[in-house]
Amino acid sequence: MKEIKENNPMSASPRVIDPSAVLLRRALSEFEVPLTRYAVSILGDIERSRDAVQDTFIKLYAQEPKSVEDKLKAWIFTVCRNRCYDILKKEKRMKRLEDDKVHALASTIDDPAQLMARAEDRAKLNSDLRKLLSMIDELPGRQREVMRLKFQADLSYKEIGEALGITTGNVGFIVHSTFKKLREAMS
Amino acid sequence: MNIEDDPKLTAYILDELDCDEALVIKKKLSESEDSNALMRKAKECESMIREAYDMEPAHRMTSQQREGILKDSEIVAVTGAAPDKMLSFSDGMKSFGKEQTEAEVINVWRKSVPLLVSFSAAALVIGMAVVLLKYAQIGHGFKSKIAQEPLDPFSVTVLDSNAGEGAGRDKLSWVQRQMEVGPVKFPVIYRYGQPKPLNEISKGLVFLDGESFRNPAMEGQRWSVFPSNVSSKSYDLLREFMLVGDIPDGKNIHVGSLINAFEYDYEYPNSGENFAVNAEVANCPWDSERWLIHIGVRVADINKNKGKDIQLLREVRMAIEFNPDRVAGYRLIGEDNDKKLNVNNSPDQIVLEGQTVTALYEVVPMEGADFSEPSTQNVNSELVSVRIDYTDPENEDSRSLISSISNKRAVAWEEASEDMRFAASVAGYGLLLGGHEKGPSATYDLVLQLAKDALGEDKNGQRSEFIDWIKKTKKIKQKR
Repeated sequence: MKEIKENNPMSASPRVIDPSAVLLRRALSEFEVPLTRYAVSILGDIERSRDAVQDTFIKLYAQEPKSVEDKLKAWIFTVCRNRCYDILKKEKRMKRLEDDKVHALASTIDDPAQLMARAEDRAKLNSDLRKLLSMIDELPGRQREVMRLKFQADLSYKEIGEALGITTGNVGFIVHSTFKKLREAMS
Repeated sequence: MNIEDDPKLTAYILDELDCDEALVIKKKLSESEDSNALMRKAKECESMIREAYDMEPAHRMTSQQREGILKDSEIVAVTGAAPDKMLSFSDGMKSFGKEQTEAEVINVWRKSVPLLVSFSAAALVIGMAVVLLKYAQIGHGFKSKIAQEPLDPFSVTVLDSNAGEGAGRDKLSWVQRQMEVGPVKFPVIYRYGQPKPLNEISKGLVFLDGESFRNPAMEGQRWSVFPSNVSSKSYDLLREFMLVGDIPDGKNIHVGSLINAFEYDYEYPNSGENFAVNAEVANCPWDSERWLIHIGVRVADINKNKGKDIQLLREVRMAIEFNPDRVAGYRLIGEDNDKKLNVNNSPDQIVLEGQTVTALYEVVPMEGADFSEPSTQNVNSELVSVRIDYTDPENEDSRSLISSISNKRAVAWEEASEDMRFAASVAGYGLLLGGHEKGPSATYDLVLQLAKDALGEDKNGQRSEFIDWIKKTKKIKQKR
């Protein structure tokens, strides 16, 4: 395995850089939080979500960087999503994301301090934002997933399509109709 | 169809359309009466949705999980022991900042002779590991270096590639060098005439906008030595902080070594030469009255060229002489004003094959200087000259390589090479992080703009990663 000498002042000079490691670190710094949030939205609890995210990054490091770096975001979300569904299947708790099922996000928080902070944050929200939040929470499964990938994880239509296995046009239509619905409800 | 019912409108608002499609929607919008209100409402709604999502806790893995992932994936894969006596950029500043008597210097040097031998051996081990790993890399899908047309608008002329024995060099110094008893006195040959005696009041400094610059017209300020060995500590520290979403204290970041931690695509020397000097001059992005001089030195891939054991270039010293007719003031970015490397006592350093050394100078050009007709024949038409002294590993000769950069109007920074823009971006970023009394009027947006179009080949992803860091730092600073 590769060895590293700590604080080696020589390492500034000709050095060999492992592109897999660079990619991994870049991905970690950019996607760890949105990916974990996304996993939580599917799995409903933080422990299993963390495992899914960890598996995703381990899998990323094993990839040939050149083969994934152009579509990193889509790759990561696709792999993580698949991993989440694998977990659900394995534990025989596969609940199809049916349109009438609602995720209770608040139940996924395990840290009391976070819970408090969240409650305070929520209290500060004006009524409009609160209304919006509950509307988002109550969206049908696919719409909820698409909206989260678009507005929280900031994936492009194309990337969302790749992750969910649907066409870009389909993504555009879902985002449009949901966005319009929310907008109208807000006014 | 009502435009509000068109999925393309939403795609337009979310920046998902290509140029042509966006133009069609724009046109449709301009035909609609209340399009402004519609757009405003949509944008408001978009940011509210994002805000709502942002309220969720920032879930992440446990630190054990993260460490588990990172454990086997060190970015740098060089093996070998570090020599004790390797001077880093900042160490060099520290130890040579204070005045030393000649006896002290010789004493220090005597003590370090055995170390010199041991660190040469250590460096040899490292060098061989580097070569082995380089071969390993080829199998890892690395592209070979593609030579690029130089973008350098300034002619760099090699004037003198062997000013070794004799050639104006103080004989005593040369003998000292042979015996390795102490740093050699820098042969004080002024290319641009004798400097004026130092004024006790100004101390050889000039002031512009409350910032001080060295005045090359004055004794002791004509030459500026820049370190050829730099440590990656600042870079590593910054990376560690960025990975956990925080920014380090600017005081702990050495801008000069941060700049040098990145790879640059400098030209390699012609065969038979040991160094190539790449130089560029452009307007300073954060101050229209100043210029930036970018010096990029590339050490030859010695071993490959000659098929022998790795040979290190020893007793290397790199310095730049400013033409006082052209330059009113200068400063080396990353150098503390009161801690200039003294030309006479500057440490001799070793460099490794293929290594690059980067120095960025902020320069205040002389008012009224004539830039119109540069002539390479006339010394006075030069802006600066770069001098590299070293011991030739072949025959132990002392050599000097002098390159001059002719005086021409600086190009706009937008037209500078990718390497220069990137180095300037790192410099601006480092200065912005703080820890420097008077930072430039750079902004994170400017720094981002500089780096964004300067990715180059970016073989190892370092530059893209740095761009992420700028964005991140900006966000974190905004929140504070």
